[in-house]
Amino acid sequence: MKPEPLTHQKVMLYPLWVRIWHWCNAVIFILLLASGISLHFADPAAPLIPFAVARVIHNLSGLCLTLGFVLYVVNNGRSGNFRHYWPVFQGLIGRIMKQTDYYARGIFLGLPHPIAPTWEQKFNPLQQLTYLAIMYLLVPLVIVTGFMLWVPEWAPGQVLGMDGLWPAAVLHYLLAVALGIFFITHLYLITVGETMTSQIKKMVTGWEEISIHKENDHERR
Amino acid sequence: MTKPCVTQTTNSWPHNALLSLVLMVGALVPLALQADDSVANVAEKNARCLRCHGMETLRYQELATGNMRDFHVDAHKFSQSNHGQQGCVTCHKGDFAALPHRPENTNQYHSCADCHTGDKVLQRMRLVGITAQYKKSVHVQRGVSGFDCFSCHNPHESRLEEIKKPAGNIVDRDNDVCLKCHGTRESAEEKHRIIPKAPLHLKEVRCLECHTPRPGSVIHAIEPATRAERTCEACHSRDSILLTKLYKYRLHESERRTGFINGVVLSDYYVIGMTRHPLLDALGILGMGGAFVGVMVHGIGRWLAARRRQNHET
Repeated sequence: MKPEPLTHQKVMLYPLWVRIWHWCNAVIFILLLASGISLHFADPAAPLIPFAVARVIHNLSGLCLTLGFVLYVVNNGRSGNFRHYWPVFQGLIGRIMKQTDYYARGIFLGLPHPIAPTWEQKFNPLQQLTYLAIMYLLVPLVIVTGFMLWVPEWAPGQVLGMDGLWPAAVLHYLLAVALGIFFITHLYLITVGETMTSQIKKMVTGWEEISIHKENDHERR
Repeated sequence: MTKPCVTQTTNSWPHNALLSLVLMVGALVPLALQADDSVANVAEKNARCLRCHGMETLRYQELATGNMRDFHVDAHKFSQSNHGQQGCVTCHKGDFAALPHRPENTNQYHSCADCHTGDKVLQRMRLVGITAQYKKSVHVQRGVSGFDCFSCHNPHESRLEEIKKPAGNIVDRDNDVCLKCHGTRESAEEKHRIIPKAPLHLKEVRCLECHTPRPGSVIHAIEPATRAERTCEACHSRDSILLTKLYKYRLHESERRTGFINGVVLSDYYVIGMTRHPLLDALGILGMGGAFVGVMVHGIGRWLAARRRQNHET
């Protein structure tokens, strides 16, 4: 049982640029998913969004995603925000198990969150690894393959005797599915805060209440 | 005043017999020559025509219209074509003895159906249906002067086997036919700015895909530009019109290549919306649908658990 905290304090864990980027990304994700589904499953009889419109939305949203991604990576490095994404490897497996156990069992029993946010590590290990994979692997890959589909001349001429665009198209599609799954679970996980809306409030105001224990007393501000 | 024709008659029987023999042999020689349709003989006869018509420069510009009249026949391509073993005069009617040929002879030639009526080639080529489509085409409807089958199809170079060539070759060949009269590639790109990536589209698909009616294979019923296909989904969908037009003759090859729907086009290009893989589609729907169901179940479980805890507390 974790000892009672020395104190609680509110800290700015989500600076303004992170919040702007996050909400812009949320809108872009919705636009990309809706237009992407319309393009891939194009059907003249039952279009979600007509192909010609979906193409424009997808391309413009893709450009915005790319621009946002570049600004995010640069700012993440410059501001030190990247520390939240890089896991502390010591005891990582144990923390992952603890967090998984919470989502599988503890949350139904009304137990408190096993890993509280701190100034150094605002994400739990599952969030950390997911965000790291999403932002530093899946999103760059979806951007690169997206540009290949936009400008087919950038794709290889032939792969395995077929048009060289197909591996890029298949990868783009699979990445989009993975990002879609992430988006759905991300939306759901908004509701697992202290209250149903606390996570949204946090991402609007930027303030997070952290517990100060003996181990992280140096984080006291 | 013309001189009266004088015929000399004689009564001697050996003379008569000899004359009859000469006349009979004389009558049979042309028949024998005519019957000799060997490749060598036809080639020899055609060589006489190709001595002039084989020259690339055999063309002139009509003063009245400014159109080029091209009388050149590529001897090599002709010999390789489906008509390569036919004599020139098999199709071209008239008296070509006089040089230069009389103008009235230059436009007299057989149509495809004149020779192919009722034969298997005709059935394969569906000439009857094609003729009906052709009559609906904008070229006929607007009465374009001098327009006929041969305005687009060059019988000196046509080969049925060409329909099995890679799509790129067919696109280039067919689009070049349109561009003979309808400007250059640059002007075509300019006219088609409404299409995203116009140069790429004009390079990869034929004018006919969009400028003919959508259902079925009716590529001879060419429509005016105002009625051209403007819906992206016509091609970019599972039931793409490319399958009934550009890829009509190649569908049997690989309709499903490595599991992809419409895999026949994959040799040439990946078409968004058209090239799809049922397994990947199912994976995407199951993945996202599963995630949705999963979080719903988790959420309902949380809600029920919270309610039970509340009941316990009260």
